[in-house]
Amino acid sequence: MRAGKHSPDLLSIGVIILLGIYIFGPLYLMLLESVAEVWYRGRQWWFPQQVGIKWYEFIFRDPDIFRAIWLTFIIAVTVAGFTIALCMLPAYTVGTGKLKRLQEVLESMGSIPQTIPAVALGVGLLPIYHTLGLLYSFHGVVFAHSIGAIPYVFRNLVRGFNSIDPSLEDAARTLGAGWLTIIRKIYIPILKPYLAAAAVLAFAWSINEFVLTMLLGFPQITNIAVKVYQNAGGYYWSPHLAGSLSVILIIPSMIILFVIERMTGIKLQTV
Amino acid sequence: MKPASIWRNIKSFLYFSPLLIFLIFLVLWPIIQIWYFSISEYGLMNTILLINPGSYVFDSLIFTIQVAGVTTILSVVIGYLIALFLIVRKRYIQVVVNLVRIPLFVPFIVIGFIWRAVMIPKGYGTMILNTIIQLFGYEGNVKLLGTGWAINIAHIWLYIPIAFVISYAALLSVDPDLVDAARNLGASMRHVLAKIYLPLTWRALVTSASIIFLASFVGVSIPLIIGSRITYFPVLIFYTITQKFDLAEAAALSSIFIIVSIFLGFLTYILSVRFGIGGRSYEGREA
Amino acid sequence: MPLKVINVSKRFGSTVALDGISFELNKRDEFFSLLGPSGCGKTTALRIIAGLLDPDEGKVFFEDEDLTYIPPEKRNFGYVFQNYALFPHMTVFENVAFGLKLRKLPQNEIRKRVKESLEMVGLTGLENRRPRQLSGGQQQRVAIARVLAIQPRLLLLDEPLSNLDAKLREKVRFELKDLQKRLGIPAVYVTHDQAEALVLSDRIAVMQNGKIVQIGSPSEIYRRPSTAYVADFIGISNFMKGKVVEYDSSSREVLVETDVGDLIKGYATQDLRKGEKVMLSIRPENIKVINSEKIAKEHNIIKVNVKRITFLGDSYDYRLDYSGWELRMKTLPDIILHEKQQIFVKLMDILVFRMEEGEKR
Repeated sequence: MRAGKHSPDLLSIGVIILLGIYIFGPLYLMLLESVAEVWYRGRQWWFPQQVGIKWYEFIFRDPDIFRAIWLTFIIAVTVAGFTIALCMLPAYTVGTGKLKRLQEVLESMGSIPQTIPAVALGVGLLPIYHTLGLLYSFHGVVFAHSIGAIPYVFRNLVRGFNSIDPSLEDAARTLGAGWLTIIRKIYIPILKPYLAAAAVLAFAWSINEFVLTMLLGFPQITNIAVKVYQNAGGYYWSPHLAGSLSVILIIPSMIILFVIERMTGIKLQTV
Repeated sequence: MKPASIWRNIKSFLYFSPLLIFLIFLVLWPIIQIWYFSISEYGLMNTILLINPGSYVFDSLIFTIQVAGVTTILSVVIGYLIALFLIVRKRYIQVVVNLVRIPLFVPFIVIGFIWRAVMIPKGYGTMILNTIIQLFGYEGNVKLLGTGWAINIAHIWLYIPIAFVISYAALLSVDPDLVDAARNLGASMRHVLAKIYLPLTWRALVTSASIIFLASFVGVSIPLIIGSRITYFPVLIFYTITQKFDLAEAAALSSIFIIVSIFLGFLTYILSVRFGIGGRSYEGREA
Repeated sequence: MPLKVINVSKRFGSTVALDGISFELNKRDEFFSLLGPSGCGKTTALRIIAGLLDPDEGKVFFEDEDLTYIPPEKRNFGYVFQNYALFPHMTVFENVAFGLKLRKLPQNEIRKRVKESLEMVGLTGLENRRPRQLSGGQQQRVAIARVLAIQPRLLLLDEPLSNLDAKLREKVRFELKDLQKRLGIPAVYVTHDQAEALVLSDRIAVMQNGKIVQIGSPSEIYRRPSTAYVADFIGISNFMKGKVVEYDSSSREVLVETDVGDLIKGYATQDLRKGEKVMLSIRPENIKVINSEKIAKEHNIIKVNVKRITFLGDSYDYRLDYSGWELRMKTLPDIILHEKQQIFVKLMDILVFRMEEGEKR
């Protein structure tokens, strides 16, 4: 028998609880690791013996880790700005169908970076960066992060330009606006929600980017992802440090994502 | 064509050029560099020898394809089932949609870490699994870390949302009147699933499968932390460069990797164009 | 000559949107309409005049200046779009001020001109609203005020009234014409609504399949349509078939014998030959009922059956049957007829067209 509309649906609730445990279980463990000051699993595998914020204090006191945190967010913001600036005109060309014959080709070009494995790209970039003097540099890392962020930014901007009534551009032109004015005064203000989505996804991609940072920036330029890797078994197994670093990596981006979705009404897609 | 129209086309193309230049410098050039290195430095013959059946590179490729395949099948099936459940029960939709999407916003490296924490000896996962096995009367000392299954478990957690989002969008687009009509004609819910939903949405399965397979095939962060140390192919390349410091060999492996993944990408692209709903139609939808 | 369009053609892929159209505006304040069904190329023509499209062939001149490849932003033409194309993110004030800001006018001048333009269209006090907070009629006024503010050399109007409801449309028509005459700006108006074109225009160009078939004043177009297509498109016309019996090329008077054998005298729009098959066109108001006694061997009198009577308030609409051709007759409500009654009617102001190849009627 199906339950009525307003009575609780026990089967659904059961499934949601199971899903919740599955989704949140590992995340709960991450939190637990981050606040575990003492945890001998041999004696008690389900809960730490002593709980506190020792590891967070450690993170903010260690200059090396603190620098990585700082760099993570600086790099991510730069990547968001850079990719948007880079994709703006191309997305305009594609999104408003300026080159009809090449439309398909140009549109798929924005997705190319997704089809090339990051590790392989890193191997190829290594000698190039070496020649250009970009190795271990801030700019080099920003460029590397931008490769993977471009598909998200480009797609969202194209979608934004698609959504704009083409007669607005015509109207602006007949009123005397050149292309720069049209972009500044018509497109950018209307595109705001899409720009926000693009920026957030680029930001999220950048803080996520570990392989290329490791290959091209490390040790001079590091980010939290690299620090998590080092403490999560890459160099040593230090779960409490890795846990608290993970929390610091996740919480701000989750908050930004949530705020942006609420503000713009756009469901962000990372696929 | 008049000169003015040609100029307009050139101008539009110039607008596109920033992206083009970036892609040439940061994608095309590295790829050429890799091929150049693997041919001139490592030697074309040596590169070809790397993929001889029986070589460690060949084994690693096969292992990677197997693991990615298992990940794909399981995440597509589970994601589709969750979406189907939601469509049929029509309850607490927002809760489930928001819940399932969470893993998409967790950095890969963190996913690697948290699942490693679950699967270490005495970790939650290992202990719970052992307890269950002991309940059935066996000796419980499973070891997950370092196996292909560990990679599967973490990847599935990450890729279920993708399968779910695509399947849910496809299922939502099925006209509810069709279901009502079928019910009215005497079809049971099981019939409706088999005769209405599945035939109308199986393309979503193909699409999500191709996306997931490619993503899990090239992903390096998660296998790096929880997988066996070098058998996953992207990890093999990573270690060749960071621990063996052998750029030539890494380039040779990378060129093989790029060829294989482009081939697989092309294959899945053909599949999803032929049978799937295509990336774009899904993109446009906001579930 | 304010505007001169010479032999302009445009194709989109394999479809020909415009096939060598030419026209010019004669007066400085002329209201010129491009009239035709959807897909006849009229909007394409307007977009080419505005510079939003490049013609494949032909030239556009304004005051003897070749504008053909001048970009739209340098033409200073005011274009009113069918959907108004108001900038959704700007207030009414900002929308109207948009073109003025681009012209780098001082702030107080901008404010003055925006105020003037909004007053002209009768829309004051809504400066801070956003377009989506306005009604359709108000949005349309903002769109007009926005182009008036830049003091355009030419007004281009793309079916600006088509999104308004019927009553408002009627009212705005006259306002629009008054405004245009008062400002003395030449205007090109695109519409598919013949009534609108008749009311607004000084001259009308009737378009069909990317070509202009006739240019003339509203009364010329109505009274002397050059083809059966125009006669059909403008107002209501009745058609019947016949054969030329006599033709006088100096007066253009032509005597036609209908299929039934009645002789009808009309005015030929083209030169005709004896024995040629022709099409007769009669306006409903030019069919008059006559008393049967009066019938002599007069021309233009035919016997018809009353098929259906519809009361329209100020008049009656009759559907008459003339040997299989349906004729519509419009009379004042003082004549009382019955359905299935047989009557005699006199036909006046008959136009005779050569039968076009492949024409079905």
